[in-house]
This record gives sequence, C-alpha cells and structure tokens, in this order.
Amino acid sequence: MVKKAWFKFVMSILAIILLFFILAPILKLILGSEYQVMIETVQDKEIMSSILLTFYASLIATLLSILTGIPLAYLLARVDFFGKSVIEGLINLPIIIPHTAAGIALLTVFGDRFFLGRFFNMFGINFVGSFYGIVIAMMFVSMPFLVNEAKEGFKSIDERYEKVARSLGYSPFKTFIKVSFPMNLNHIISGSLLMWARGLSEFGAVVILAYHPMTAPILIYERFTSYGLKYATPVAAIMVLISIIIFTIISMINNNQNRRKTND
Amino acid sequence: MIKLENLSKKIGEFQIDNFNLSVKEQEYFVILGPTGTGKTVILELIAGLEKVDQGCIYLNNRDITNTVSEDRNIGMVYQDHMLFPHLNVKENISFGLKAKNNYSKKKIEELVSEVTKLFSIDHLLDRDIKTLSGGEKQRVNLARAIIIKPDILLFDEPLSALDPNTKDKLQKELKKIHKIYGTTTIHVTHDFNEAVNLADRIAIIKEGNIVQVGQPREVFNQPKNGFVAEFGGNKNIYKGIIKENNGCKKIQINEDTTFDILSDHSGEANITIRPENIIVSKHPVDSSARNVINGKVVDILDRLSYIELIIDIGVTISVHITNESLESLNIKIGDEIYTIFKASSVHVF
Repeated sequence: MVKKAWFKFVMSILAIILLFFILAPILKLILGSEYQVMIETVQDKEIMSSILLTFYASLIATLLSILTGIPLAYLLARVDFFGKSVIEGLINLPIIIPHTAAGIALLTVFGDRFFLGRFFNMFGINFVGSFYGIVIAMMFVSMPFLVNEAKEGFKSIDERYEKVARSLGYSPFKTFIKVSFPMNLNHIISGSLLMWARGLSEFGAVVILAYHPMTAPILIYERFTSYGLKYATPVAAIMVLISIIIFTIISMINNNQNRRKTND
Repeated sequence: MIKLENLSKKIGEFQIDNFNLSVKEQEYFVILGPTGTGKTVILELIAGLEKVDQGCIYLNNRDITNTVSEDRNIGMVYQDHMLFPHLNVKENISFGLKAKNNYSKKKIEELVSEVTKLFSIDHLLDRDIKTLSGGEKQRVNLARAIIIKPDILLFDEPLSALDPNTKDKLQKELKKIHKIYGTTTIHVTHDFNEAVNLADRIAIIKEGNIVQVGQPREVFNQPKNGFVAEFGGNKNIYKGIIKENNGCKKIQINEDTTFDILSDHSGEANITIRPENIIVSKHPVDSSARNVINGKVVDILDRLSYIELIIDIGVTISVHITNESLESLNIKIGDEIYTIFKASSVHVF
C-alpha cells in the first residue's frame, strides 16, 4: 500500500515525542549518576539488602499467585458459570483502585482486629511491619497481570487439544498437567515475569502494611525526603537498571512466542 | 458395535433430536452431510467429549452414556490434526500409551515403530510438529489414535484440509489401515466421493437427522429424496405425474416430456436418472431401452475425467460420457441428439 510521505512523517514526530518523554528521565537517571556514588551505593549494605528483599518478596508473591492464579485463569478461560464477568472485573480491581487504598483494605483484614489476621497470628505470622506484609501487598496489586495473561493464554488453546488427550485416556487433571499447562507455558512465564516486575515497583500498598523492613521503593522515598535528591538518585538508578533488564527478557520471550505462532 | 439410542443434544443453535444409529462390528461407517450440520457433535457425544442431554450410547452392548471419555477407549481424529505442539512426532504418537503407565518403555518403542512403518512416517520420529506437511501431520494424527487400539475410531473430516493428491493417498491408506486392524470406524465428511470410496455403509444427514442409511451403491442409485440425490452429485431430479397405459407406466414431467418407468408408485412422484446411465446417439437406435428421446445439446462441459453434456429434451438433462465418445460422435453445441436410457434406470421416489 502506498501511503503519502507526510502521513508517515507526522506519525513519526508524534511517536518520537512520547518516546523522548519516556526515555529522557530514565537515561538521565542512569547516566547522570556519578560513577563513584553508584559504586558506593552498590556497596552499601542497607541498600543492597533492601533491593534483595524487594526481589525476594515479589518472587514469593508471584509463586503464591502461580499456585492459585493458574487454576483461576484456567476456570475463567474454560468454564462458563454464573457471575463469571463479575469475577473477571474483580480481578482487575487492584489495578484500578489507589494502591494506598489497597494497603488500607488489606490492613483491615490482615491486621490484628480481624479474624484472618488473628488466625495467622496463631502461627506466628504477622502481616504488619513484616516480610509477610510486603508479600501480600505485592500479591494483591500485581496478581491481575499474571491471571489475565494466563487466562488469555488458555483461551488461545483450541479446546480440541484437551479433548484429544481425554480420548487417549488422560483424566482431566492429567490432561491439564500434560497438555494445557505446557501449551500455555509461554504465557504463564511472561505473566509471572510481568507480575514479578510489577511487584518490585509497588510502593503504595507496601508502605501502608510494612514501612519496615524497607523495600527499595520505600528506601528511595525515604532517602529523598530525608537526605534529598543526591542520595535518592543512585538507588533509583540501580532499581531502574534491574527493571530494564527484566523487561528486556520479557519482550524477548514474547517475541520468541510470536515467532512460533506465525510459524504454525 | 456401537449403538446410539434416542440421542438428544442441544448446543447453541444446533440441535439433534432422537438420533438413532447403529454401527456394526468392524464396519466402516460414513456419516455424510453438508458442513455445519453438527456431525462433529455426534462424534464428540460418542467419544464422551460432550455430555448427552437425553438418550443412550451402547458400546458392545455396554451402556457407556455416563462413562468418562478417558475410560471409553474411543479414538478421535480431528480435521485440523490437533498435534501437541510442545511434543515431537514420537512423543505425540506415544502419548496415549503413556496415559495409564501400563506399557514398558520397550513395548512403547515397539508399538510406535510398528504403527509409524505402517504410515511410512518412521523417518519423522524426532521431527518438530511445525516442520511437517499437512499430509504428514494427518498421518501422525491417525497413528496417535490407532496406536492405543481403540474399540471405535472416530474421524471428523480427516481429509478435508488436504490437497487433492494427498487426500487420494490418505484415502487409500485409511482403507488399508481398516483392513489391517478392522477397527469399527465412524467417519464424518461432506465429500460424497470420499464416502463412496471408503464406506461399507453411508448415513446421509440433514439438520441433525438421518435421511437415508444404506450401502454406497444403494444411496447412490436409489436416493430417498431430492436432498440425497443432489448430494450425490445428481442433477437429474424431476417431478411429475405417473400414468398407466396398457400396463406400461409413464411419468409425465411436462406437456411434451414423458419417460417410461418401472415402479409401484402412482400419482405425483419424483424421479432421478444418474447421468452415467444415459447414453447418447446421433441417430435413433432400436434398443431395448424404452426411453429414446430426441433433444438438442445445450452445453458441453469438460470435467477432466469425463464430459458432461447438458441436453434439452423438454427438460434439461445432464449426461456423462467419455472423452472418446465425444470425439467419435463429433458432438457440438446445438447438435440434434438422442438420449437413450432404460425404464429401470429411472429411480422413482
């Protein structure tokens, strides 16, 4: 198709404005930090343990969501039941509501005043100001990314694959393990990575449930409010760098996946 | 043996009501009908992949209506191969053998090697599914279903997505496989030729109802109604009134056209004459055939394996002749010609 040159030109200009808007602050953040300060930051035990904590908490949140979210995604993709659209809306709620509100909501349920919080207390698990609090905050707000991605993945698999497996002697559970799950593995992996990455960046919900132990986003905020820009920047730069690496991996996986699809 | 008794099922727009069907042991049974008449649903009901609303399914006199799919031992082969993309050819074929862990590794190797040789796909074992051609994919698909030695094989338009050449080859292989294993087979298709080639018996289905069941020749030559006749590629379908004259029965199609017939019918009736059962001649011949009718060639159509003549004999009639006959008779459009067919070739219904 022949398009007029000015059309492409105008579209490109507009696109470049947005790309610049995204890229400029990020590049300035990473390249603008003094080399010496960056090294110091990496060697700072408090900062590194905070970053590690962030990654670890988000990983646990993601694993817990895989265990419960994959079955949910499968049911939503395969079974028609009353109230399904309500549940589908509900899953997206954490994305829409302010994350501080999400944190408050979690606090009312997992705090000491509600039976759930007291129940976990019996096993020595306390959600306020603890690692567990960070995990549930991250899980609450970033679970939709995993569930939605896995759901779309299951939907894209022709149901007849599962039917063939059933006719070949596989029970529904075995069919899920041997066919549905491996066929959807790419979506599950990219959904998990997306959720994990989103969990890392969570501030609002985490800050309500657990100011301490300090995750990286909270540390950045604290450095900024207490010591100023100069001390917050290197921590932010390292966090951003790591996030960039993760997203590069995700998009590589996605590309690989798309290439497979077009090969079919 | 499989028997469907008063089967009813409703899925969305589609519905079958009181569906009855009985397929004999070792029979190759073809269900023939236009696309989108719910033939797939019937197969999925038999395989236990869809739940029956009402009615019963018997497999070798055992009621399997409520048996789960994985315990029915019924193989299902879909049109679009449905090979697992995360497994290679060998893993796909041996998939069913691993369902219940009752085969040793050695036994699996043995069975895979046997079935892949049969389909001439033994050189593909380590290949990725996406690298296979359409014909190879469908062979692997068939091998995957056959290797578990199912009691019944269900084929859902297995050849429809293939090119004519591959289709032909696979048709022959299906025949061969059926001869070797003798597995009772129900094959669903919309292709009349495929049905005639493969079937021991054919059921013609229309909107979820069986219109006619019989051996291919029977369905072909004695269609029960216009739908079956037309589906069998027969365009010569006419309506008329049967009259009797000195013990000779005739059917009047219109003011100028009557055919001699042999029939017990009377009053209004439909007739078909298979285009292959009509011969043509440039001169009136004295023949035992009772219908010798003068007409005019309207069109000559090259159908590659035969020639179709469209002749106006008061009604338009389609006649199939060989290329040789066309040349030796030197037939051209507009020629006067005689069509000759026996009274017994006129099928009345």
